[in-house]
Amino acid sequence: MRRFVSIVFFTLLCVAAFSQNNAADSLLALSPDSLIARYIDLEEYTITARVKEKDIIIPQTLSGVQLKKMNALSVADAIRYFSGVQIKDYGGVGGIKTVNIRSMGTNHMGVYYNGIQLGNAQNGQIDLGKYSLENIEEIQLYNGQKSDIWQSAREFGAAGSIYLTTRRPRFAEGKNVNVKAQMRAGSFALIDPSLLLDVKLSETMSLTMNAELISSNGKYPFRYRRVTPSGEVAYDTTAIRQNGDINAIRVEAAVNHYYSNTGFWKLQLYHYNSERGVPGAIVNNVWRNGERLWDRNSFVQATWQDELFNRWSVRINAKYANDYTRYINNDDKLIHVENQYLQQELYFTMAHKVRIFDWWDVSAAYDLQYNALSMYAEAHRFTHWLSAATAINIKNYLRLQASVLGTFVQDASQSNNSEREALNNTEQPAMQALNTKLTPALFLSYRPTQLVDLRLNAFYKQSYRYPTFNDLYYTDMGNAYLKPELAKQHNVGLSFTQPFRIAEQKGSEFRLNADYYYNRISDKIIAYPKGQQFRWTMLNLGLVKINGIDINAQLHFVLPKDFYLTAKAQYTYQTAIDVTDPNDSYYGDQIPYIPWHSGSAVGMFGWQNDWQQYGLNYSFIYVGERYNQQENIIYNYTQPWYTHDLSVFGEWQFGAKSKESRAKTKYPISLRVALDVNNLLSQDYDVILNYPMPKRNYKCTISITY
Amino acid sequence: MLISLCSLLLIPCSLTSCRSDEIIFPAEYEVLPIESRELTSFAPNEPIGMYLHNEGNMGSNKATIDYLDFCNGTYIRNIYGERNPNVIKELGDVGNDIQVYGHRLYAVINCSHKVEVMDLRTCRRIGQIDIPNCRYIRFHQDKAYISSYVGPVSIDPNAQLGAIFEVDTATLRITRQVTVGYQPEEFEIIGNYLYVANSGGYRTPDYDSTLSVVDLTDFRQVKKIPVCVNPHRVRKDPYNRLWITSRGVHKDVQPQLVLIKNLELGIKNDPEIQYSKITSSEMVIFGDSMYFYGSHWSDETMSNQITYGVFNIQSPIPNNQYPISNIQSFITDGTEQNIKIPYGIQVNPYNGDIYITDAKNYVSSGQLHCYSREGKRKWSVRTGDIPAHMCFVYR
Repeated sequence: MRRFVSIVFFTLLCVAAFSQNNAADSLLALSPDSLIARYIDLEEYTITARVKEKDIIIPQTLSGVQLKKMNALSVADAIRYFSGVQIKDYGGVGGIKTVNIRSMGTNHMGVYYNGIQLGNAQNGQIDLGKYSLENIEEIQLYNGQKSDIWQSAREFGAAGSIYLTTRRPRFAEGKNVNVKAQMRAGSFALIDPSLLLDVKLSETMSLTMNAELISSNGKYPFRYRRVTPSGEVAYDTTAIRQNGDINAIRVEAAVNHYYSNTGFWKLQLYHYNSERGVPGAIVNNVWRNGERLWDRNSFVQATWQDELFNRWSVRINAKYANDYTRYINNDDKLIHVENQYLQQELYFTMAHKVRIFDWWDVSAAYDLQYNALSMYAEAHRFTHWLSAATAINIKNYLRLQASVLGTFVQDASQSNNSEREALNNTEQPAMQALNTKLTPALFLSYRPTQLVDLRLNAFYKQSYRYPTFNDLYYTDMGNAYLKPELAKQHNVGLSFTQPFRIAEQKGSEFRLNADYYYNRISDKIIAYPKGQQFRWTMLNLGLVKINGIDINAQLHFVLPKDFYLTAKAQYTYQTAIDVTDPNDSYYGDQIPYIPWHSGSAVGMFGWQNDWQQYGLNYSFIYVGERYNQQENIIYNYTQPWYTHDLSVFGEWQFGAKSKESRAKTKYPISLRVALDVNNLLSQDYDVILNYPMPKRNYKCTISITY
Repeated sequence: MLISLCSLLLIPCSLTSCRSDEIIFPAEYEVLPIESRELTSFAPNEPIGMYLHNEGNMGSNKATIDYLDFCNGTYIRNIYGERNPNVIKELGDVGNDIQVYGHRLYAVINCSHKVEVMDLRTCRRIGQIDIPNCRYIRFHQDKAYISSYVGPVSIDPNAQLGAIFEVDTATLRITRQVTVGYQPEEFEIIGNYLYVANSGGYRTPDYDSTLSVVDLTDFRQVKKIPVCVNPHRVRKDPYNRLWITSRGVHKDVQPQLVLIKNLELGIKNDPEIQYSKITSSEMVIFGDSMYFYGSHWSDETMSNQITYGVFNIQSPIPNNQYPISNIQSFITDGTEQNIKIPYGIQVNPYNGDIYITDAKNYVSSGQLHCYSREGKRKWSVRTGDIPAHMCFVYR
């Protein structure tokens, strides 16, 4: 218990130290007198504030209360609210959802789960629809890299990074167990129960367990309507999406041990198992598809970190991941296909940071990873990363960070099983030459005056995207001579925060971030047609230039009589131009699925007192016109889409109504009910051509927390 | 502050646009450097137009039909879409063949599992025949025959045989069906027999290599002739011989052109098979001339090796090989450099003009090039995605 008190105390100190100016998430600072709410809020407040202190360029963050209010199902649903991000969504609960930042391509994105990257060496894409928000406390999006130099070498490698941080258990004074039971149900026969259990093993050690089941039949009506140029209805048809069902189970367990003020270790287990239908493209005469997909993702990861001799920080991470995929095409009109893939990953990292002076830190890290793909094809890869970085903070006016990363990749492969058998080849795969690349990064932040919180930021970064196993070895298509794809990012921006008061109420705040960026992707790995029929190969041919502006603004009002109002808006303008070959008909055209304009707006209005709170959230997402193929011609034009989502919630704490009852009920039980309506105006739209999205749909969530 | 935020929000609002009614894709008309002529000035055996079938990339639902109008000298992109606005989800996904029979136009749409039947003159839809995974169509005595990758469900799901379907062109109903080899592709009918190439294209590396012979009387497979690995095209010449292309085996066996003779001796006798070293991906027989192009990928140069050629089909084949050096290219002005992936060829039977399509990178608009008999490029025009199959329309 002493530990907890000290955390709260530390929290308060931090709050004082950073002052209201630095309010990382002012939403959290508004709870008036609710005891429990204040505990939690202050805690989260400091966590974000501390992180922020280290960050040279502040990331886009969704955390704690905000995430809870959004009530989104998966990480992909929440990430849509970040600027500069494009989501590919194939529709429905089970549809694949991948993220692409600043048009650089999904494979340039690093997704980190509690600081360790989620990998898919086979195709390099992480389906964020698979990651539930249930156990996630914070999502952060960094353009470039996390601007804290104490990180693993691999983290310096991605062109954009998403950090998913799971909930850390916190116990009220004298309480040893936290329980949360939740049930979600909604359209498409969605049933999503989850259970969360925190157990305090000792004053410093805790165990947390979380299990979730997601089931949906994926059936939703969709509509295709076309009119003739003269305005008559050409056709108007509504059908039900088929074969989009999903059954998934997720189980997580973690042990945390915060053994001193500076040190802790954590062991985490993750298991996800799913069976789903692949609904497929809706084309003429085809309304149903027969593909099925089984996924099993398991990993165990461990972290230890501490600060030695007050100056030297050490972190060690290790991970083993085992991912199995089985794919079947059962469509009786198509050739039967059954493929199985097993991917394994072993990862180890050690990161050191030394504080030479109070204003000067240096760091070094080494990572080693082994990837193996088996069953369908045999491929192995050893990757070593070595990084060195330095950070300088001159009197809070100028912050600078420079890093250099060396990546060393060695591949070994065999062709797919059937070919291997045919050739009677049982030899061990041959190792290929080591591929070595060096990539620098430089981040700067300048605060001209301490009077206002205005920061000018800039960064330059190079990063490589290594060819995936599919790029290199896919039957007939792979090209073992591929070079990695190079992304160069240039960014300038500013961030501004201004707190203000309304009727003597503290906590209101205005924040603005604006960035201009120029990215250049060279040696882009593209599929290139090969002589006969539909044989392709992968070549380093593409060159893409990306120019963009991201603007974020947030206005938060703490109103009298316990009301609050938050308005957030983000807007992105982007051009992503293919400049590969002047002879191509699409030379100078915007690359597929990148809208020129996109943005979102969120409004949150609520009221709360000691034992209850109510809120109304409205969000709007806009994705502008874009083209679904390389040529910007009318046949490839895709209309804008925009959806309105509405959610209301209420939360009550039992036995906390009056001061007397609060004194009696030490650990009240709280009940939360939320109702969501998504796509309120029932827009019929495709994010990806021929993959229709659901019309208006509903979701209801009931959770009980002890 | 509030005002500044609002104005900030208004900037994007004023720039961006809203969703409007989705309009069916219109046709596009382009004038070609062809003299326009009266319909009556065309000889009965002179084409008045040519339909071009664009396959469209799989899953994109962008199979389209274009029309080259020799009367008006225009090229019409997406004529099917314009003439049939009420067809739900347009023509379909992945066109694979287009043919004319009588007053009708038949388009085989592979991934929409159907044959679309249209009026030849107007391109208006008459109906459709549902055939799973259909590939090619030919006609014989008022019956349409369609090859399909999937025959009846077999016990071993990994060894599913293909089939030929017979359809009555009057009723558009399937009348009979016969199981043949693995993944049957093109076929021809000579006399009372249908010869279909079994590619086994989905069974890599265990390709099929046979030609199934189907007796049309009782619609039964009577024989399988081993020909060449992974066969694809089957074309008969005026001497009732069959020219067959092999797609080869990736890296190991080069694609080649094969000639089958003596079919007139009946199925009890083995035909004579002659192998050439010619790489042919697609071909067209015009009189005694065989126009072809061949392309294969070279891992050494990381590029496509493409040859264009014409030869006399009656000339002898020394040592079962055509000396490749003796074959002339039918393009003589050097413009073949501008063709990235040749994907279709046709010859105007009246004036000998040669039409070559370029599929580019398969996911952008292709091109149609017209060459004179002398091999000089006359004009080029933009097509739909993956222009591939062409057929002529007469008065």
